[in-house]
Amino acid sequence: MLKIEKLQAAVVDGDDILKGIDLDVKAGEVHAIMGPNGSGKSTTSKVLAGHPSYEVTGGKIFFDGEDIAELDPQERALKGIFMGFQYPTEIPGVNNAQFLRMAYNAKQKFLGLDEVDAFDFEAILTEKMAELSMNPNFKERMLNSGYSGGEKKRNEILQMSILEPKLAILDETDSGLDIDALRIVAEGINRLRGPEKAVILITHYQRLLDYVKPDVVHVLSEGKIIKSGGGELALELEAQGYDWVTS
Amino acid sequence: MSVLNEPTRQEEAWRYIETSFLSGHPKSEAKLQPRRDNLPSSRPQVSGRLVFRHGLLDQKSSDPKTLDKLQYGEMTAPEFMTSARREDWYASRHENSKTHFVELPKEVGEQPLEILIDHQGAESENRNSVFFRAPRGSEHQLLIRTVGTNENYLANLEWGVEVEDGAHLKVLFDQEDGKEAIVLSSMRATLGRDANLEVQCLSGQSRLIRHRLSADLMGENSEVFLSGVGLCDHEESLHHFIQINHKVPNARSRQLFKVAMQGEARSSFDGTIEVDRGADGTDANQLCRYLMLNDKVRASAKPQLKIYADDVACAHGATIGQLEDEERFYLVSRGLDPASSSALLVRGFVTEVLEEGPMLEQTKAWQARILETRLPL
Repeated sequence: MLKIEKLQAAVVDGDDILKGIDLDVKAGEVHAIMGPNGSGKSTTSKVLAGHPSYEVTGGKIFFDGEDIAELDPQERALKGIFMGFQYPTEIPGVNNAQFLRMAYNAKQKFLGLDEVDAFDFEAILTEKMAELSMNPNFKERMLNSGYSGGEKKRNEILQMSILEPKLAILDETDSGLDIDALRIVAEGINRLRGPEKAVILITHYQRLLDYVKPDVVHVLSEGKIIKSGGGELALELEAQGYDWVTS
Repeated sequence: MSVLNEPTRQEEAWRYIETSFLSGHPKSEAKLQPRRDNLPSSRPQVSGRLVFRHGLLDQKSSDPKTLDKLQYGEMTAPEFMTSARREDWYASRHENSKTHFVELPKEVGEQPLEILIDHQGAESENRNSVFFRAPRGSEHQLLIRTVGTNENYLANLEWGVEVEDGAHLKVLFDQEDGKEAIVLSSMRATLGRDANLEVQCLSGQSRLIRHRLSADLMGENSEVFLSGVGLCDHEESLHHFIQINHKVPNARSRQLFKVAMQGEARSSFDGTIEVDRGADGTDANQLCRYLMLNDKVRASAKPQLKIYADDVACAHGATIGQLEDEERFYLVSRGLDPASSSALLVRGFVTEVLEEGPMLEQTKAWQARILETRLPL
């Protein structure tokens, strides 16, 4: 589904942060990318989502066989790439439910499906929110504005659940969550799993991987993947720290 | 009384205003125009309405049941209301005009009373002066609508508000005049002990709009919230001139003004909080924000504090900015197209003011007329 070849990327007009990443994520798989601070984890997610502050300076990004490196973020989203933000942007004045319906309908339109009206969407939203044990008042609240850290992350998972992307790239979705919220968010991620879907979890810690079992774990350091392995690699990193692989 | 002259841009209060727009308008007495037969219908969910035209209460167009319930008539404008006449040439033109008073009932009004101020007449000055009194302990809402023809008239409106002790008054001012109109509105308010006043001005699409809002907090524990919002386009010009006077201790004031600008629009904000000596315990807050959607628009914000008391909390802020890249990225990363994303963000920018204002439900007409027309999703 996602094949990255020798990907190099930089902040626009800056030095390379990603220095040749290779990654092959097949449909049905969950990959975890771990690594110390400053290793390029968040940059990887933003580059894959098409953030305008970053530019690809080398290599290729194939999604479903198409090179997407030049596509704008909207096109990537409509093709099925979802990025869960490490720090979801607060947007005062924009109603959460209205935004979600617009995003849902944008995808419906792209897929040639009927757009839904506010009443039909209400039913979809209510069901998804119940799955994530979210307070119904989130519908009327402003997008991420005034939310706690955990509420923001839960709202990211709600968006993912509604948009049902082919590939979800979740950037430190576990940070800022208490144990109960972590379990609920993990259940949301597990519900997305399926033979046609793939997930990339970017995380510092093993604890999310207790709930969402990865097929492959990668260690990113200084802009390169320096080690890959199965789920046991995360356990070893938890026990021994990153020095074990970076030194 | 010193002699006032027609304002020019040399005067600070008119510095950012296209006074050239004003110079062609007649200085003669307003002519009484025939009643229009296509007056806009009343808004839903109002208790009734009064119609003013050319300085007169148009009883035939007003709601008879509303007239029965209210005390109204002509009066000499109260002193607090006329102070602007000594400072402002346009306000001074009301000196020889009639002021109409409307005494709101001594009870709680469940629904807003609609005040329709009708303007018309090419190159005609439409002067109206209206004084509202909210009696002690009452609770009322006013929906003031300025409407008009598509002619290039000048609307010169003076309105006074007295909120007596313990009274609560909410006012939504929806400016619906035509595109060719010049609309100069000047409000002066005075608040007694424990009184509460909220005023929100929604600006439309006239080529020049100036809201002058001034409130005197005369009673302890009184509170005023003034807000305004606009989405200017083309060569429209929108100006807010605000003065809050804290005259007594322990009163609170808040200002929130937001204007989004596209086309070649112009806008200014000049807001002053003045705290008199001895007005300790004052809590005042002022925020003005401009959102500039291209590099052809121009905005000026001038927040001012004049504090002569010791124990006060006053905060003021002004920002002039553009759409945030991170906000746009967040929305497009969910599949929204860039134009819809920008429209949604601008709507969000102004909606925040509407939601904090006194009559969200009644702002829907403005949202449909301005926001949704100019920022389609």
